[in-house]
Amino acid sequence: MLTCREVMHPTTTPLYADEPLGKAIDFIMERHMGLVPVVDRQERFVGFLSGERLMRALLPKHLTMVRGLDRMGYLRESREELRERLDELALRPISAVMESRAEVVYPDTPLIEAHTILADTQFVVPVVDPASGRLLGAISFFTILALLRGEPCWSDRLEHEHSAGKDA
Amino acid sequence: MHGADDVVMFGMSPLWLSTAIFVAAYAVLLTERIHRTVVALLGAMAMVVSGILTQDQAIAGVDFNTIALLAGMMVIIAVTRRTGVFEFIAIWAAKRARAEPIGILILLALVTAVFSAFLDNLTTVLLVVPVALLIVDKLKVSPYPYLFSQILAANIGGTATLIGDPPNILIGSATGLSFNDFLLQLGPIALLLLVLVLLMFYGIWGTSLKTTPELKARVMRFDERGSLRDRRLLRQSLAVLGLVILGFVVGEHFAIAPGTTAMSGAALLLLLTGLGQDRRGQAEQVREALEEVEWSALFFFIGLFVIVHGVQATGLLERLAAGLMGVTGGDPMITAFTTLWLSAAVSAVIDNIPFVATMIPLVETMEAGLGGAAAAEPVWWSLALGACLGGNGTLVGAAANVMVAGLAERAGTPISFARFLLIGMPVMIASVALANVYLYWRHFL
Repeated sequence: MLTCREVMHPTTTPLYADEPLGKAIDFIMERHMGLVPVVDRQERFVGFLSGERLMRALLPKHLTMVRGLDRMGYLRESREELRERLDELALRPISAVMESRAEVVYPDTPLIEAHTILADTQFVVPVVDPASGRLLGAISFFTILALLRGEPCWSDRLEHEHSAGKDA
Repeated sequence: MHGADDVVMFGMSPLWLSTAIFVAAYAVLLTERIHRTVVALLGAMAMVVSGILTQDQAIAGVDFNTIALLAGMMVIIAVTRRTGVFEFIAIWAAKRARAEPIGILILLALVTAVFSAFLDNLTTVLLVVPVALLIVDKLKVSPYPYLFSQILAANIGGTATLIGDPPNILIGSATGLSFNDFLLQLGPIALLLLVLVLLMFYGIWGTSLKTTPELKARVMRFDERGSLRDRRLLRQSLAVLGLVILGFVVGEHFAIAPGTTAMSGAALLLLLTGLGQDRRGQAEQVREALEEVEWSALFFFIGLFVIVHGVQATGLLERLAAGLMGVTGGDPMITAFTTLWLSAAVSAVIDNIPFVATMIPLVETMEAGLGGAAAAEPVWWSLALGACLGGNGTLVGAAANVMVAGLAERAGTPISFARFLLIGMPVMIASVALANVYLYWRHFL
């Protein structure tokens, strides 16, 4: 039986939930990553920060709050107004913007569980230690397809290119 | 129905059992620990299961005119809301004030007062307050004057018409007092109170609400036309809304009750929006419109009607009415003024809907002792004015207040109970006192 342990890509993250979002934005822009796991100070997985969540947080809060406005077709904003909101956003903690309702799996969980989550709700499924909740790795459709095709997964390639770029 | 001496469940007399169910239901409603619809339905169920009312009697106790009026207006507003016309008007008003903070405060309060006279208060604040918060955010001024003025304007505006506030809907439906009766009796005092409240806001915040020309330019850049989403639907909705209001005005001459008018309007609007669509499209339109109906509010009313009918059937309300008549000596003026202040005081702290639903059969019972329907009319206006204006007293005085508080909190500017009390309570006391003078002038001078 194929388990998550065999498929997962070992993952670490530099993003802690209590850090300012500005650090996360720097990281995302540097790595061109659309989805980054977030951990607490005990390295336990606590959520994902995604490009979607960032864009949502950058909208006027009156549009995104519960029972707020449906649309804002009348708003005509300047770059300066958007920039002001981004500056305010950068000071908020990552935990205020991240998606904390992500489903997780354990290393011994059958792969079909992670596969089902990928098919239904998430782009990436974190693999955590069942006892401590620490983030061990992640499974995405890339890791599954890369395993089946015997190729290094996308994040490995990116990591490789990144370090190659730095060396150069 | 049972007489007071019959014995139903648990060996208790129907009078005491119905009183126990009534008190228990209202006590749980007060705690707000269980959703009010569930409480009302459980109370209604208890009235039937205990044998106080048969199912037929319980159904007969439901005022379907009120239910139809509420449901019909909910459908019309849900469809009209999708057009973006309400945001259009709010932004248009803000720009007419040249983005001047105090001008925006006054014009948005006027918009809210007019909307809430013709729509329900909850929908009104839900439509206007987020726009107001967005504008004050752009102007970088304190949101509190705007939030407070929105609450006060919604409650005062709702006082003006039969359809403006649920207490008025209940009273109009029970008494047969028409849309025009409400407008002519309550419209002038509501208008006067609104003007005075806006003058007060101007006096308090007229000079302190300041912003910069750059920030005003941000609001002036808003293009209100961008909020209009579906021009065809807009024309249809506004035409139907206009027809429905016309129907309320002329309905009494054709013996057409407001519930029929609102439901007819809802059906007509659903017909118009479905024109030119295939069966699936029509089904989708109907489903979307009905999804917006606040079914929990409608079932709350149904449960409440049955509970009140239960205590009415067993004679509790008759006894309470006799007690109240003893206090007021059967004098219409003293009864009216007592009702006014009692309603305001109660409505400031608890939901005014169950209170008014209970007071209606009570006042109906007192009518003969007061000298007939004509002599009792000022008591009805007192009940309406007290229940609606009382909502301004505290942050929990009306559903619209709670909604505004929720929106404010989610926007990061929570309103504290005490902070609102400092404005709301004096406004409530002053407006009820003015309403008292007004009632005296109109009916007893």
